[in-house]
Amino acid sequence: MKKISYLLTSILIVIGISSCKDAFIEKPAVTGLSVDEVFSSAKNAEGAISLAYSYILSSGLPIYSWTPPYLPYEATEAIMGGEDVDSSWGYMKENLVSSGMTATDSYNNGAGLSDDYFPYNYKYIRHAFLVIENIDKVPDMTLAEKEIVKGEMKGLIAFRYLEMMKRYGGVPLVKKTLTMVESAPRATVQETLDYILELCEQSAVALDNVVWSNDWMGRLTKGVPLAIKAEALMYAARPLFNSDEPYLPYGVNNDKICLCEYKESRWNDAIKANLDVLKWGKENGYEIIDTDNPFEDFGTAVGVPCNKEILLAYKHQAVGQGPSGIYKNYCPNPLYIRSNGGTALCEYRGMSYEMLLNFKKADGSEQVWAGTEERPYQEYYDKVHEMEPRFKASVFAYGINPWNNEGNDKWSITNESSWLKANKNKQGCARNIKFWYNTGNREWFEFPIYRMAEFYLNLAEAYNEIGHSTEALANLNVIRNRAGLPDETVTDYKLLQTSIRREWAVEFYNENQYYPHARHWKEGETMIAGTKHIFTFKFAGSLTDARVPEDFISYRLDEAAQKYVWLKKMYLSPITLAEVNKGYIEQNPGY
Amino acid sequence: MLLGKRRYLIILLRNCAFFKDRLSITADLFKENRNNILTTLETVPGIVGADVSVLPPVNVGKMSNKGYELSILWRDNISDFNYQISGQVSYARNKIDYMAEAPYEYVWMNKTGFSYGQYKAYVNDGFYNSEEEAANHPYNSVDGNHVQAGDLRIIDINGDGIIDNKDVTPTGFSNIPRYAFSANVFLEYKGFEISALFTGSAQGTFSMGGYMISPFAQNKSNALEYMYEGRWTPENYASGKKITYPRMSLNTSGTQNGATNSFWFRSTDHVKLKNLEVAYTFRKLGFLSRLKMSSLRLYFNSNNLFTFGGKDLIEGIDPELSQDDKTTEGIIYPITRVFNFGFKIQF
Repeated sequence: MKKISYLLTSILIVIGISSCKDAFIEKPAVTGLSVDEVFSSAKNAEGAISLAYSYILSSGLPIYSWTPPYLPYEATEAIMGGEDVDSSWGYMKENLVSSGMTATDSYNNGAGLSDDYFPYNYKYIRHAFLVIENIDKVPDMTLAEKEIVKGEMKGLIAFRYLEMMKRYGGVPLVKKTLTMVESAPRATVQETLDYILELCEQSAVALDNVVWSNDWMGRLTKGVPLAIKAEALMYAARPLFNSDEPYLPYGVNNDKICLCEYKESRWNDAIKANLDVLKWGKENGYEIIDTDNPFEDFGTAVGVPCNKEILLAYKHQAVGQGPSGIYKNYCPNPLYIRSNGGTALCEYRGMSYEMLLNFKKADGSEQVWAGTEERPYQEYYDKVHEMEPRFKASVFAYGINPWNNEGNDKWSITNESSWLKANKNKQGCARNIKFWYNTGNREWFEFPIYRMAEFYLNLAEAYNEIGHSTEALANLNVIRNRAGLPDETVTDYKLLQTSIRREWAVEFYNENQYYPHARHWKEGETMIAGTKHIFTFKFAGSLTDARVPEDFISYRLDEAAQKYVWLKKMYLSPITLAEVNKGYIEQNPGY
Repeated sequence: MLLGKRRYLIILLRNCAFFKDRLSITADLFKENRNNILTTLETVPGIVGADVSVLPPVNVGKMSNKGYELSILWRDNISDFNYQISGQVSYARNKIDYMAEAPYEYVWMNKTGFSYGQYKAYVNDGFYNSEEEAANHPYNSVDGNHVQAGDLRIIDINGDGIIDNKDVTPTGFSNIPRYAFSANVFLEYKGFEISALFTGSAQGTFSMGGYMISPFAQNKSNALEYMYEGRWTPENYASGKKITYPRMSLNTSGTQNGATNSFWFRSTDHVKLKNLEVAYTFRKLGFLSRLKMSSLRLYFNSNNLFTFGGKDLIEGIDPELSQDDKTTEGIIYPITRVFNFGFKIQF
């Protein structure tokens, strides 16, 4: 080896500029369907149209149970509002009810603990705008058909903005597909409301006289934008937005969370819009089902797909019913789901005692349940049988064959492989099965988004707020009559308001109304917060679960696992933290 | 797309030999700036409606790295005794200069401006040692403000009276240590050899989580010894025993004692006797040469013989462990010591 000693005592400074070969780090070519391909024929465009429905109408629904960032792990709006309580493991939903909503991005893939993932609203709205902007390219659709599609899309967009308004207040108004360099500032509540109403107008005009064939049942009819308008005006009139001061002070941004001026006339606007929907419904075959058979009528209205009371439903049957979130969360008897693997989340859920107290006996009087001492199971059995028809059509009571699926072996408590049983884990007072009436072998269901009953209760509420107790009672009693209860007669404002709100809770149990109502009536403390209670059952011998009455010994009132907290900031949801960090939108106060 | 890189390298000494080739030194200083790194844009407003997964990544990222390397080798012999000692140390510290990150409210919450992989956690300062102390806590938004005696005390960094994600600050370093050093010793005397390799690192951190911190995992398992022995109880605290675990709970991960607390981020500073080999080579074979053997070497070899340091980690965790999904979940194989015996025969 050469003995060259190069004694380097000087300092060498080497500047090297090196570059990599371009080929390694070029971004890959984007492949997939382009806009032109999708809109090259009517058949292809149908895919885009139905995707718009599936995207937009999914608001507030747990369509995926474990894939973030939709609703937090295993939470539903019914759980958030305290209608149902859940005893299974799910740290996100536990934190959600016991700590309240938060905007931190350490939960749920950055979505935080909230009832919605803010950016996806705009992803879905963008898709609808894409359809509007490109439907003209389709060669084999008539001009009239294209106008109808645009009307549908506008109605859907209005729906999604309304859902956002209910959750966030004023939101940025995106009125077309944006490019990456465009943005929109956060609009005020009033501007958001106006835009929703504008879209509804345009949609209603485009959908005038549209009647779909049976193949297309479920697409928007004119009634839907009218319904959206009615709902929007109701929320504009309700106390959260319709006040001089917002629920939390927000300085110059007050108008983004509040209409900043109380006007009683907002109730009048709402009344007019609701009357319009009912009138249109009557003329077009959408009516509340009332054949003097309360149990069958209510059961059909909520549990049979495509009935005449449903104006709009979520019809997307997700791929693979087994793991799909919407089944896991709403079908407590997943014989078919179980066989496909996975667990049904709703097995561990049940009605809270606080919600149970809203239901009356069939004769209209109050039911009295046991106290904290052990009472014989027979008492529970008898009391359940005394309950009103809507109770029997909505829930499965432990140890009692569900009334709404008589004679169906899949829904029988004696069937060993059904999940109609009480389990040693605490499970509420009874379990929601209202979407499954005379199910037969049907494995799917459709979540009702607008049902004609809603507008009667809207009217009752609005009339009462402006002091017209007669009209309020008239509308309230339409619902009560259908449900088989005697008429309400109180005319005092406060008493009638309580009665109407109670009717809302019962009629729309688990239909995503209770939670927004609690927020917009500013009743978070009374309707949501506090310790929830359930019934705990004692089983015979060493059984760990019970099906038939003989398996049960006793029941008692018990505390549920989670104590619900209500913080003032929760009247509106937090905007996703990542979006606030980007600097174009202000967070809601308190987060 | 061009990946730009600008590197300033100062070579102080490169394989310089001194003292008649017995001492050899290499020393480098470097500073490197890299730009045009392919980055996912996280600054596009969500209202554009395009999912981050759909937008193509763009070459806007920037990162810088600086450090030094020093290596020394001394080789000599005293008549029949040969020896060689060498040592190396390297230091590298990187920093993310730009990554299209939407900035948080407080600087310490960002990833930009810190090392790649820098850990962040709630700052822990001892325990709440009594109910009175526990009653005086800032509102804790993790786990519904449930705080008891025996819980980890968390400091409210931004002073707003609430413990939430704004109080998560950089803790420790990243899992890849900044300092790496090693030393090699080789001694040989008349066929008898000892060779040892020491390795070590400093300024690295490991985050304990999952099964490491939650006892009775999946309702089937047991509690780890350090949890059982060192858990906080009023008696243990009163007797002055060293507390190594907050109050025992089935649900540690879900409470405010969960994994995002600086208590669980442990230093991986260590020095290991990584490899030790003792061997003897027979030169004079005597009767064995009748078997036509020209040499016979017997050796004993071991890996991971001793580890000094890593005392913050639970005994058995290898300080060199890399942090990935499995190890974060707590699925860790303890450090293994390997012993080999062998021989080498040359014919």
